Amino acid sequence: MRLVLCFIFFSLLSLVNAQDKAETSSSKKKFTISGYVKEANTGETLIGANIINTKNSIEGTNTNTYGFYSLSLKEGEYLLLFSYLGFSNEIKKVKLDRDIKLDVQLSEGLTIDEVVISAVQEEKEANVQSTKMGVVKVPMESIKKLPAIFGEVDILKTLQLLPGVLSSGEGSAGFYVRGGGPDQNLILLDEAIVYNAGHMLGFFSVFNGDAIKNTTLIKGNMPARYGGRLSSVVDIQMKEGNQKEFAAEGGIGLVSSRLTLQGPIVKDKASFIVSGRRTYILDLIQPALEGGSFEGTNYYFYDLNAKLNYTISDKDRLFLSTYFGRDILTFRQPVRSFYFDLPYGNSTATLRWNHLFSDKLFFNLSAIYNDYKLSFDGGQEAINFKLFSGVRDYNLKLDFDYYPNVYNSIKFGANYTYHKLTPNTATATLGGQDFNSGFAPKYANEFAFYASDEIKVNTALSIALGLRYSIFSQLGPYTSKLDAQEYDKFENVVTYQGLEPRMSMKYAFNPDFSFKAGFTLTNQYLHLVSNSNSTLPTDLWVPSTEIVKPQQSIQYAIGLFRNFDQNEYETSVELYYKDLRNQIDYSENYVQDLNSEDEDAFVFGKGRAYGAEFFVKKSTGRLNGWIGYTLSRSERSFNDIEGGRWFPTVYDRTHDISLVANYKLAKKWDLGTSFVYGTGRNFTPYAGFYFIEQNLNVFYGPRNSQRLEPYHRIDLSVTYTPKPDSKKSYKGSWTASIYNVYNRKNPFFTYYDASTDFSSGASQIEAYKVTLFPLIPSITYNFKFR
Amino acid sequence: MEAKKYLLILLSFVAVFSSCQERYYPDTPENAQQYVIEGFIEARENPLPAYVIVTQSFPFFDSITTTTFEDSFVKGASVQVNDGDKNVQLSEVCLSSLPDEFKGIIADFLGLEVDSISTDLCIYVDVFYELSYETGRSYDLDITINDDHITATTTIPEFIPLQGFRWADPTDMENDTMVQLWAEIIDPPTTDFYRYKTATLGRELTPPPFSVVNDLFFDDSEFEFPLDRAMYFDEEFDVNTIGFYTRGDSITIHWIVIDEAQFEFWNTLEFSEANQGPFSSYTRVNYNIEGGIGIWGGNAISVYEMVVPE
Repeated sequence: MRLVLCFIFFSLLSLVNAQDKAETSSSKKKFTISGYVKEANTGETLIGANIINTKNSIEGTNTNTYGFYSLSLKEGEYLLLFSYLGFSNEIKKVKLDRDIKLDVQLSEGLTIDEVVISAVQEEKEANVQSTKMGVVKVPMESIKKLPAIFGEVDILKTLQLLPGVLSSGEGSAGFYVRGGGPDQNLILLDEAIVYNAGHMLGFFSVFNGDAIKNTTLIKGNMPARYGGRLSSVVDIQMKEGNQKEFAAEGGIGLVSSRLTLQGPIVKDKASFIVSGRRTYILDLIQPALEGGSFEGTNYYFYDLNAKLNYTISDKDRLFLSTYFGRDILTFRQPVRSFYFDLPYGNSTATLRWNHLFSDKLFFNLSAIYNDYKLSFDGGQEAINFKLFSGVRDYNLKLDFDYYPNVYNSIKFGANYTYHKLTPNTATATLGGQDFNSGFAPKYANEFAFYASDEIKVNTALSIALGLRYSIFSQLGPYTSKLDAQEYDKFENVVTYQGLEPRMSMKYAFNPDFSFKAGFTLTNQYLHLVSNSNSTLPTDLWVPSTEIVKPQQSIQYAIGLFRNFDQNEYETSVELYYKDLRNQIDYSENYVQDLNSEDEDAFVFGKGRAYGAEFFVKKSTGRLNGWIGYTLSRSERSFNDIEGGRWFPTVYDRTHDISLVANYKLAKKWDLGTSFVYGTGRNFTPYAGFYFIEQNLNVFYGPRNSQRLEPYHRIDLSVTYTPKPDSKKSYKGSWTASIYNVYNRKNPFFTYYDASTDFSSGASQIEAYKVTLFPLIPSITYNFKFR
Repeated sequence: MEAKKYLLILLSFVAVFSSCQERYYPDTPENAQQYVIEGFIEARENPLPAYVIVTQSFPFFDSITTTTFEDSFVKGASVQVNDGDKNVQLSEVCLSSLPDEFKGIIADFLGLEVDSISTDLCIYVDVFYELSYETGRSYDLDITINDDHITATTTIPEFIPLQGFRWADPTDMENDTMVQLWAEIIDPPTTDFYRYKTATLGRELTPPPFSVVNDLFFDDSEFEFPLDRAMYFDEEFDVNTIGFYTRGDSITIHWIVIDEAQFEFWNTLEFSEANQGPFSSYTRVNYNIEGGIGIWGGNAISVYEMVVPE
């Protein structure tokens, strides 16, 4: 199968190259226009901005992750249109008789102009005309107007409102994409992997909206430059810092407050941004705890983002970005000196160098460090117990973007990561004796090489081809569990490798209507296996080893994309089928035990997920928003679980509906609402009781054979901006939200209790559901200062 | 305006901390009635006779009455144990067939009050001690109930006694009525599995909530550890005194060496019972019974009787 795909890939590539050569030889000389597209007010580069020849829409391109574009056209005069949704468009008259460098600045807001309107339509047609499927860009400004629980704006929770993306639980920032597990989402912050994207048991994501420039979700055909996860990519870019002037913005909320400072270091050449957020809800009750049984007990989390960028020359730019976040839980109980401290969190650092080898060849080198660690230090009297686990990566990436002509957009590169994964390493002191679980960290090398080409065959047909080759090696020091062989430091224990072809195509019946199809094969070498119904910070990342094989997914997708009413309305229907291999779960007899490594309790099986996603979106006008509906199924089968019976996963939700709407009521007033409905989460029921040693014990029925009640709720928000047209340097706005407007009692969890009739002495088991979040009002004040 | 702001804040706090619960009615799970086996054979000075209790499970949402336990007993089964040398048919001993003085013994055996038993309970016992009660020996259990066939095998491991005890005053406590017990063991180089029970306050033997341990942390070493008193199910939980012994109390400790299968059974059963929180997944118990659920266990028991120092 893979050989056939490779053959198809190279055949198509050579076909297009032949076409390009033929055209080049028979036409005028070509020149290249290239540069950056930036936001006029701040100098921030714009990702995915469109550049097209107004006379021939096939002659176009868009900016890459760094805001760079390159377009090669035949010698001549052109009206080039630069557009970006939510920004005014710029038309540049260009005489192309030599290679030209042109940086373009776009301002927020739309201008009313015939050509401009058509350009906006071009931008909006992208969903129809692009080969991309299942790709959604979520602008931060839209997110900020949506209702949010406790007023805490959250990127990941907004993504959950898209079809094919499910929330992992009430109020949780965790998510499942197209029937995949939570570990199958690649979450990147300035290219650094974020291994645990949740604060406070996942109720909040680690991403502070004020520091974020752009978020892209890829749930379908993952481009070849991404790898290592099966289900989705959430690619988040931090702001670079205002290049023009100093600015501050922030917000004061019930749960947390945040502050962002940014400004030029050297105007239009170097800038910085620093952003912080911290919760304080339990700090406020500290005085009440003084002298009580829980004095000293506290919980809070914080995030710090910082970024510097420096434009060295027209050809070179440097970026340094970092993130540091921690959850801090301290528990104190003076009785018998019981205490514990549980800090955990991520740190990332990314150093990037952009270089232009030529107008057509863009190069980026990234050196990335990321670290997730969790530690526990607790004890009582003569007993002390410490636990540590974590993941640490050192990553080097080379990425090339090559724009040989208007028909091809080629990307290629390489990636190397050195992983260190520390399993739960426990040390204990018991009455003067020391114990150590003795589990050593596991080490691994991961290499990847990729190439892809997005080919415009003609105005109707475009094809995107990609090929990724990944290699993963478990390294020593390590002692084999299979044959007790000892491996030295950096010595190879086991190697897995695989070709990962990616392909998608678009055929446009007309400018408003297209058919798309895609195929993606991905391998995943790191795994997070959870033994709970939701992801917890204590869940462990484990590498592929001699025992744990890499997960693999093959996804097939087709879709129809149709725009209506001059692109006012975007609609799409996508069907997908995923074939999942080497899926991992805990054995049904798993007992948490610090004496043994988690991988010893793993079982391996297969999975399948399929579904249909329906999407209607209106992105402009006073009323905008979307409606999404997903009909889906996600199942797994393990030989060691109920003899291989296919069972639905906890990610299985038959029906999932989301509606999101923003309405500009008046200049000062914005309204936002969202409605979600999902089939109830499934669970494994108790089947019966039995007696052993006179104690009543339970046994379970088939895995995930029952469901909780459906989940649904409506949220509302109102944003009031007292002086929207103010030219003053200070601007403020109030956002009031109501979460769960009709106070739906959604089950957060269930439990059982026995009720006893004392007259007859009979007891009866009764089921109860616990609702976590009833109707919750909140208010936040946001401000900007420049 | 200020008042409104504070009201909103207050409302939010009230809402957050007022998560509510209400009854709901899940589907009734499929009825999957199972035979439940609870049988033990032990080696020690004056061992109890090998016995097997055969009961049936009952559906989760069934009403539990005072007679539920008694009604779950299975009568008329053929229960045989093979000790490698001979095959012994265990005798079905029913309360109705016993003189009154023996009824109390059987009721104690089952942890019941003899006066409260309304039905005729039957268990299967090696009444005449025909089996060999020895460490290092394996025992095959074979039960036939109508057309159903149930089998299991267990081994009585070698004795590994405790080497000594030490009493320690609890720290950070003014309470001078309680004391902590530390025990010492010399663990052999083999992989070993232990269980223990305590009898305190003049009551019967009972296991603690986590009653089993393997020796991975202290294999082949001399090791001292706190041996907590097992609470009774009807005792009030008190974080100040949990695990401590009452000064002046006469206590009995059963230190039991078990085989791996029995360890797996108790380990998964006790973890499953303790791990039933809202976010927990389920744990299926590792039974060593073919054709049913439960445990057939061999125990090498070291018995210690002592008085807690005043």
